[in-house]
Amino acid sequence: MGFAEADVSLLDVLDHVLNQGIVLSGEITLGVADVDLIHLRLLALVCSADRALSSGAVPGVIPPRRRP
Amino acid sequence: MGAKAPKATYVYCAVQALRKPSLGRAPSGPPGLGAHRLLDAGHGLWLVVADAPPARFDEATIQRGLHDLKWLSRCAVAHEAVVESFVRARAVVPMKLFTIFESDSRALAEIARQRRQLDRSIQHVAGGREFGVRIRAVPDPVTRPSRPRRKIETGASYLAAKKQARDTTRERAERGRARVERAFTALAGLSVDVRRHPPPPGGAQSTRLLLDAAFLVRNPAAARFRTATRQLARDLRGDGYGVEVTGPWPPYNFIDS
Repeated sequence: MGFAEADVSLLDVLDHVLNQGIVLSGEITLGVADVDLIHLRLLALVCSADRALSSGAVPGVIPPRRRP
Repeated sequence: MGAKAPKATYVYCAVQALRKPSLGRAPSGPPGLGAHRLLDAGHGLWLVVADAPPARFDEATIQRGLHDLKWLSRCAVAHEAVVESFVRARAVVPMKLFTIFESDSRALAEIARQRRQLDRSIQHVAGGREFGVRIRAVPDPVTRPSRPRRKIETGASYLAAKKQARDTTRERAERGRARVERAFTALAGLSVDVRRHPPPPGGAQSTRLLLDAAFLVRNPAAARFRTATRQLARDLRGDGYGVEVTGPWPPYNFIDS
């Protein structure tokens, strides 16, 4: 599976958990460059115009994960 | 058993609650981590943690894993689901994916060191949920200026038609920008706090992204916020703008480190 095939809500989850919510920095830290690289790729996808089309630009609220 | 194998401590989130939170609701975490545990950080704050076997969660293994989207996605979704299961607490402070310490006591020491800042963050996000809103121009063949059916005879009329099409597009973009600013202000009015993300590299031009923002919304306003985004999506759709709303999320964007 490549980044391009990842589904929309998955990209949002990745975007949130990789980029945000940092109060602690753990001792086993990821190379900043690695995370930045991934984050840039994500950002490009999250922000791409194609995505609006493929997701149907769903109005309303998409839950962050599918609830059972 | 397993006493010889050293174990690191993986931290999902910090939870503030009047009583010790229950782990019953929490789904399982990223593959390879141990069962969830709570560490008491004092004064109503708990860390939701798990044992991280170094063989699977040392730096090199994680670095390699970052390039495996399947694995990364499983970890990300599982991490988020665990954090998400604590949102009913007074406040939840999500940690970044792969926040790992050498031991429980090292994690607690770090919390103690940052406690003042953490308490400020908790006060800020308490009772709030995050919504993400993106607005972008959707290329729409229907609203695009129609091409004249007749064959254009002269070079001059061709250029004039082209200029008109360009002007129409530009005007639409200007109008759109103004509408999006109004929409942003309206949504911000229902929120406790807002984070507006700068346009991505490459410029808004290439991505058609007019707004990318996170809103922190406290409960009484949450329903109104959802209604407002739905209304906005309806209003803007006709003009060729897509509104994308995600959430409610734990307040990932509103914790200051």
